[in-house]
Amino acid sequence: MKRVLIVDDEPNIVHSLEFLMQQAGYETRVARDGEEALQGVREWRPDVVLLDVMLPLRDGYEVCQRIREDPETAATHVIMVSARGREVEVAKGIAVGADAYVTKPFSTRELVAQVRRALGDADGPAT
Amino acid sequence: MRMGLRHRFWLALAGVVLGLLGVIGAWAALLWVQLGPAEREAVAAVLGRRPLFPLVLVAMLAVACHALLRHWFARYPRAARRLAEETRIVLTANPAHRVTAEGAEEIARIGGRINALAEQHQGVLREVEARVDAARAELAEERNRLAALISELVQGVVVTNVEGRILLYNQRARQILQPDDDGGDGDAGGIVGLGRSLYSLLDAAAVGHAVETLQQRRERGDEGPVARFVTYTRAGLLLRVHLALVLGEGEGGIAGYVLTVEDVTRSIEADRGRGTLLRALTEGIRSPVAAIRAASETLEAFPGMEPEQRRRFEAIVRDETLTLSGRLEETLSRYAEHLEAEWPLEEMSAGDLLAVLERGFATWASVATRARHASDALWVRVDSYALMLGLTRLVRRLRENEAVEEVTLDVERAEPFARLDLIWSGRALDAGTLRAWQEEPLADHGYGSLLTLAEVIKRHGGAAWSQCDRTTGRAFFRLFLPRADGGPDGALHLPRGSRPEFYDFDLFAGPAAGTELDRVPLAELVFTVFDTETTGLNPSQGDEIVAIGAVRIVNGRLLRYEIFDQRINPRRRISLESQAVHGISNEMLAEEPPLEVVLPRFHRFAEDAVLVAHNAAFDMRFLQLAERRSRIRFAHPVLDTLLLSAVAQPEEEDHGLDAIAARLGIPVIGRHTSLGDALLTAQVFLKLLPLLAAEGITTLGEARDASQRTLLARLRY
Repeated sequence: MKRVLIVDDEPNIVHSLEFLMQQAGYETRVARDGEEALQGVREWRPDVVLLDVMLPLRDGYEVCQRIREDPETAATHVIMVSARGREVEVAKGIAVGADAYVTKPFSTRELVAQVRRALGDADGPAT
Repeated sequence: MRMGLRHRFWLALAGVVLGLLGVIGAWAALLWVQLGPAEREAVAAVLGRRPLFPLVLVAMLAVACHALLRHWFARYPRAARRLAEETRIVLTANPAHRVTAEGAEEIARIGGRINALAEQHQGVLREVEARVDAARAELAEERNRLAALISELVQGVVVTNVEGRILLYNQRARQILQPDDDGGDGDAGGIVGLGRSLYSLLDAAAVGHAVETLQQRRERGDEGPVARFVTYTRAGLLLRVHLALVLGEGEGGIAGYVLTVEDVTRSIEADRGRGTLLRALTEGIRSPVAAIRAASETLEAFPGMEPEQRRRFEAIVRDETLTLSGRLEETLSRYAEHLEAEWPLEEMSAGDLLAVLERGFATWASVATRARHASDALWVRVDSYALMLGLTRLVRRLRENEAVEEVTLDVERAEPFARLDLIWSGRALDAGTLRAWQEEPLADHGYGSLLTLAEVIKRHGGAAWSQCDRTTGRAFFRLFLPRADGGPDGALHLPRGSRPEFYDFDLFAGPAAGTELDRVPLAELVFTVFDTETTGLNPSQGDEIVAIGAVRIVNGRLLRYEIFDQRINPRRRISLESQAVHGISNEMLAEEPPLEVVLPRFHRFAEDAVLVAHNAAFDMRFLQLAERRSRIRFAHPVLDTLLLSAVAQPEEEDHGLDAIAARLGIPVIGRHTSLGDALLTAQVFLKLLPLLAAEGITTLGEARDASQRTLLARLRY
């Protein structure tokens, strides 16, 4: 089963994301701050990270950079999901290595589709 | 007759007489040779009997020659010489002088010609003088007009020479650059004043950079450019500065700089505030909206989920909706603070506003207006043009629909606003009609076509209605306007007709940098004329200064608006004798700052100036004794009007300030306040300057030397 790490400090959005990813057939785990996120990536080796930008301890940009710097985790798919939607912020997200940058609010269906595409299983497990 | 001419006269006389005697002698000798012996004897006998005869003959000859020669001399050489002298007077001293045509006819004729020439010469001179005077008056007029214009500007304007010395500034510039203006001194920064340095007010590096940029552009042939920069003042204000070059003779063809300064602290802060608010709003709603959307989409996508799960999602939607509502309310309330600052309103006296409206009503609505007198002290913040358009529209509607021919305007204070009433005889407008009228565009084209009365009302705070006054039976339309108390930003209101000395273009041609101070003409120096009041007469026994007053003289002009006037808490008793002189008691000084605080301010006020005081030794002694405590050194050159008066009028005995003032015809007002005495001393000093110049004393060095030499200088206080 492919793994999705959900990184966000707001439980309400985490709840929906967790439910959606599980329904899409993925194994999920949740990290609530930057430190936890990095630890999760290193130990649990997820295939996709849904990464919020505004996080306690380390922000999403830094977490993404660290993931890319470590050769062991560099191949992980990172989708940034952020309430910051200014152009410079999107550009920065892509520049530090995110595969995609999604601004909140987003369409849940599209987000699921994006995760599937990233994992190369567009037809994927049935919902 | 001058010595030279007299000398020549006697020489000529001697020559003529001797010549005649020679001729007579030779003739007698020739005769003698031809005489026979008998005849010789007879002649000898005649001569022997009258031995004085030849002498008498010689004397008679000499007298006759003298008379003739004298007559000739008077008619020719002396007349010519006199003509030459008188012509010189015409040429150098007095063009109105005319030569006396005397002497021989020929000479007299030359005199007549010279007079005709002098007449012509004088005419030409008069014409030239008149033209010069007219040109000068025109120039002065132009300068005055320019200065008047600039002084009315809303922007601060400062003009400096290349060295950054201020030649002109206006009220606004002073308010912006010297915000804690309490009579010419400030703690945080420099002082705005003629002849003072711009760089004590603005960052020299920022100004230098702008000048350099302009010079580079000029070298590329880009004439007349303006450089902009933003800088902080020492008081922490953010300024937007525009700098342009004044072209002229000078280094690199630049005579100076024109700067306009604008305080953008508030508008930048407002902009920043709005930006922050907008970002907080967008970022603040993204998260809750994302949570709601995700939850609701999930609910929709999985209709068969378990009840427990469903309740959880529903709770998310409810929570986040509440968060969202709260955030919206918060943003709105914060935005309201910004709304007010949004539309640029001008500050205007209520009286001026009424005049504008009255003109508008008469011109555009053909309705007569009776404006009630508005208090001069009432100032409002309005967009006067928009307000005029809006109310004129309303008045026109009143005339067309309600047959109103005359309205009354009234403006009054209504805490915390100003209340503007438009009053007419008739019925009040019902809310529906008023609303309809308020939504009409104010004009068919132009600015007015974009505006409605509703919009105009909104700009001014948004409160307006129509009502009937039951006691008078008249209806009115009332509008609340924001007030601007104390006039434009608490402007310094000067008495009308007194144009302060805010400019001095002669400073463009100031003494070249690096000229030794002693060699600079007195007329070109900057002087700080000051006076102190003290607790007593013995500084060495602990007496202290209780007040310092000072004025400035720049380019020979007394600047009455650039003053220093500060009382000081001496922290010791004031002697009764001194209190009797200046009338300042310890109780009056309890709240005043100590000397350690005041002295640095005074030092800054007197920066770059020559200090002048009456009996300066006394005041300087107090300042010098305070130097150690305040760590301020007064190393300025010092002039003393007491000594200068003694130099200029050595025959006088009394060189007290009152006596000098009386001699020089200066009215004495406000004596024995430090500022009043400083003013009087300055006037005395200015009157002494021409007297000193008549004695050949024109530079600072000469004035100091002459002061040293006077006997009084040897006295010690």
